[in-house]
Amino acid sequence: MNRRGGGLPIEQFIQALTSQLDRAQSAMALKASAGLPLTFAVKDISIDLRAHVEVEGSAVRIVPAGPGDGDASTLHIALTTITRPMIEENTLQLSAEPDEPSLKDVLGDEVSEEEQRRLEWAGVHTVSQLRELQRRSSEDAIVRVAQLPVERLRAALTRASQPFVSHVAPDLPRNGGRPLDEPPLLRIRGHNLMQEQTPQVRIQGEQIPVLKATAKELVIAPLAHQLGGTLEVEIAPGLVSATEFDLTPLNRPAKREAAAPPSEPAAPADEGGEP
Amino acid sequence: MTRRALWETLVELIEAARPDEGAALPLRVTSLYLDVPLEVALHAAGDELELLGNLPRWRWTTAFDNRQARLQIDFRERGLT
Repeated sequence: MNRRGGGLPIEQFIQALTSQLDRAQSAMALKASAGLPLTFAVKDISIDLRAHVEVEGSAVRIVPAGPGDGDASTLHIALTTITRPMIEENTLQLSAEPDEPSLKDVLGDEVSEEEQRRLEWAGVHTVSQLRELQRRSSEDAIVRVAQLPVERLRAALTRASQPFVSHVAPDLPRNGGRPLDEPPLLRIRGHNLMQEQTPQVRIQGEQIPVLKATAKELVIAPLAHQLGGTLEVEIAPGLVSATEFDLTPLNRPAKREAAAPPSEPAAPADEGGEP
Repeated sequence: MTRRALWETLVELIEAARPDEGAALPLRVTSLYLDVPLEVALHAAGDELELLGNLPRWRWTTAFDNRQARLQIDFRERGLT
């Protein structure tokens, strides 16, 4: 629960109300299933709540009126049941991909809590949703909704477009059909790892062949001396991620590998791998 | 008197509207519309926020009672799915 200054965000009150209706519905269905074939469903509900209304930034908070509060406001909240097709018709589908970092994870202090809250009003919880909204609407629309200065929005979008490496691991079990005496292929995981074109990947400044590229994963073929150091992924001019990694223990004679296949070590990438 | 969660009050109200099983005529209630005063309070249970909703304890409210809300709710009969 998020209560500050005694007030409660109005959406939390509505959530609490709908949660009570759900529980009432479940309880009635349970009773009915014990014998009667029919139950009751809530069709409409409205409540006139006597409360004090406060506005704190972009949050509307309510404080239920206490004894003797003659000048409290009346909040008339009416809810009705809607069907799934109605929900789908009236909701802008901005799908979040699984395991996608939140806006806060990526943008950090680039957007304030207040601005993030306004973006959430527009259904934007993740970076991909922010980019999708920018693509479908425009910068102006986001600026209006989030009341973000346009320069800060551009900075946030630029930061959100940066490639980010979260994991570097050898592709040992298959190794792309390579001979055992060759160093393993490396799988690089993260997000924003590719835009329209295959990214350029460098280790210690040397170009590495990229065998496969998606926004979330790259497969590269380094040479034996390229299993550690600074890994750079450049998806466009100026959009570069730099990450330190070390998988040099994998660079060992083929016969030893064949005799005792190594487990698949993974080199967690430096979380601060920013350009 | 212990305050009840709103859902408990709603279930009690709807159950009270069901005819007795031993009634002479085979009647059934197909809809129910309630317009009742309600004492609303919020109760924090851990991270959860529970909405308490109770009918007034007394016919006359005193200066020590919280301001009452008004609840209108429309129930319709439906088959179990």
